[in-house]
Amino acid sequence: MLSRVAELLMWTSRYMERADALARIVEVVDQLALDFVHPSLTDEQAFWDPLLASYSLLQGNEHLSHNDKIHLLTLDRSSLISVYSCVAATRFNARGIRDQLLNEVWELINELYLWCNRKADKWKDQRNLSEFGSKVKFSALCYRGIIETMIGRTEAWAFLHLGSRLERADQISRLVDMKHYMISGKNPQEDMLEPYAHFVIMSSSGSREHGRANTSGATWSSIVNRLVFDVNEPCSIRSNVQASYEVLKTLSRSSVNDYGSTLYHIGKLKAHLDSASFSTDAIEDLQQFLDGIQVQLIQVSKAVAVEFGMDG
Amino acid sequence: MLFDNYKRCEAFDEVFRDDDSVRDHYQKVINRLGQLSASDLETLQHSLSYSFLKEGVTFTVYHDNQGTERIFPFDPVPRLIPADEWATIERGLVQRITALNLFLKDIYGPQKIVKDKVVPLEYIESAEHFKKDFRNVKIPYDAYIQICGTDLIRDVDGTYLVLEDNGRTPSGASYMVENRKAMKKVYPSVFQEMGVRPVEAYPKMLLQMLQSMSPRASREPVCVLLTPGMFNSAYFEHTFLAREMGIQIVEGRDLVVVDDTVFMKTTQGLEQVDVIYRRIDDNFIDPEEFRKDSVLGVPGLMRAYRAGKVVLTNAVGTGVADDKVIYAFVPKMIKYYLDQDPILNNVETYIANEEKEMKFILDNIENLVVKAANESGGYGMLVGPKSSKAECDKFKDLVKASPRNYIAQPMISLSAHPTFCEGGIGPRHIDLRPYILSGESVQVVPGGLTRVALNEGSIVVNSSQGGGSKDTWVLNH
Repeated sequence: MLSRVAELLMWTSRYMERADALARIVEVVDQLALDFVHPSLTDEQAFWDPLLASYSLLQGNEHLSHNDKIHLLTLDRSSLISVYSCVAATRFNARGIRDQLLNEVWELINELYLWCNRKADKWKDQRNLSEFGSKVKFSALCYRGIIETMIGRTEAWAFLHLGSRLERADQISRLVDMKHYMISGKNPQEDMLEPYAHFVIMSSSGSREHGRANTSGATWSSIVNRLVFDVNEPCSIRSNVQASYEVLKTLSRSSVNDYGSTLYHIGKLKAHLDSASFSTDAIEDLQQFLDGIQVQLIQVSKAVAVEFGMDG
Repeated sequence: MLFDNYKRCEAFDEVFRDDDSVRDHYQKVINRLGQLSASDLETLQHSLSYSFLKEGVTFTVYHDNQGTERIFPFDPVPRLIPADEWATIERGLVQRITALNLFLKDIYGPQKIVKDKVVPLEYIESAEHFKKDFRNVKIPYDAYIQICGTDLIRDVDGTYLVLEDNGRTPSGASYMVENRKAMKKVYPSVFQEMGVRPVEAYPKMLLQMLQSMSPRASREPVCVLLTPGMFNSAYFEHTFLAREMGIQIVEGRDLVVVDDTVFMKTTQGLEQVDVIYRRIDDNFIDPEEFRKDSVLGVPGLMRAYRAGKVVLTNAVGTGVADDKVIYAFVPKMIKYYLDQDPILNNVETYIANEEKEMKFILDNIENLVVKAANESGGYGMLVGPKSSKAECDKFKDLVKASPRNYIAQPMISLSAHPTFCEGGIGPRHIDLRPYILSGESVQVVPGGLTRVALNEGSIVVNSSQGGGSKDTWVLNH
């Protein structure tokens, strides 16, 4: 397989996951904000600003109206991080490998892109974040379904799968980290937000357990355990790192003992999560821990690019 | 119903005779279409257009600087060609490509046709796409133009004429196949009744031809399609053909030349390439040899090509045959190389570089179509009868300033075909681009791409200038 093709396959999956992750949070927050009541915080302060901050978008955009902030995250064509941009990037990468993709995959992506374009044109008149979130979410589910059930376990599948898994691990780490932005400790009444923060994070994760967790008032510790360490939870960082490790074992010609190689980096990350899962209470600073995970995921991506000739 | 208000124009009508009766081979299709209302056809057209958009069957428009992708408008009224008519077209196309390949072998070799004063050397050497440094390069089967898209039109009495030969990187074959897929879904029963010859085998025929060109017989040839990238107007076609043939689509940056051998960069290391179906013009294909600023090509590719380590389809330098001045000599080439009269004639052509013909062009420009010798896509062209005096004067100046670069032809109205537009059926002008493959033997795909000028009265059928397409049915009988 051409190195360029492998790279585009991987990034097609990564951008689809990224679009899905952001669309889920936006949909959850939008619904939650509809009946949000708090003595001193507006829904904008409680949810939308922390969300923007978690994507490093708040600084410089504080002055924007409520609607414009939502637009920035969803259908803003000029925003690099918006769901629209992620969908457009998915399509851009997929178009570069159209001959390699199943028609069903290409048409799914292209149809979503055309739909987002129509919605972006009518943003001001017909804002419906619930419909928007559902559409993106459903398309991403179909995408994964086709990749996993209709493509043989070829090299092409491996790079598509790897892209999905690495990105999901990264997105979940950012989602869990969002609590830090919602409850920063600057406002004493923020404590009242904790159940909301847990709800947003669990509901946006895509975990099938989110309903039970929300109704049973799950603790933060149990949420972290599920989304970060639970190897049986398809959304968790650990299960996605584990899956990335498995697929890289089939692709890579390196060994875990080759310092700086793909398998070295993914093996190190996997071991880090495995060992931390036995003593989660010992993690004193979750934010620092998650930052470390994100740095290691970047190292894995760089090693993949080098090993498979994606760096030109 | 649909055809009740149809009014023929002055051009040859493909469907209706002069007495308004339907030509025999169209009878079944017109009967079927006659059962539909304009609203039915409009719904059908919208549904087909959306289907093309969703599938990404598009072309890219450059001039708005946005890289906008558009669908190639598709007309649901098919164009039919009876078997005997097609047999003549096919023989004419085989004759023409044979003569053109002999001509290219000759001018990149001994140049006998020049020595025998049939084609002047100055026209060959001044042709923009003549590559003088590529004489005596060995080409498999002497097939320089392996893929040709020849544009045919019909004059007022229905005679087929060759408008131009596209011997560099002709496009449109993918739309021919996609149009057929769409029509089969729309009119399944009519297909069964009519006996329409298939076009879907085109990618397979193309692959077999490419593989037969391989310089290495000892192993399965590695063929690739070299694209300028996804911003190219024909990118959909590139992906379509690569996918249908099961070969890699590559960009210049995916290839590297080592020891005069071409390799592609894969996740498992370098893999040797034998045949490149290139969709990049000569001038951009190798910055070491041609344009130094080209980022689309592969440095060193021409070294490998000259060394015979890789075959390019089409060969380097075939663009000389696309020159509209050289086109004027094709009937003479057929006579010279094959000792035959052309089965398909040229449109009468005046060469501005010839003194008498220049005078004729300048005196009659308002009645002529003037074309730049090396432009395509409907650009660099004046349609005299539809232009203002100022536009004609401007072209007179252009022709006088650079006579080698212009030819003129009488205004041929192009045949007309019932076409669905603006909520009803009306006559619109059409041409036909059949695809000819030349390798060990010559094969012509039965049909081709019928392009239609969707604007009433227009004769410009190019997709970039308001053209659309129709499915072309070559009948078994």
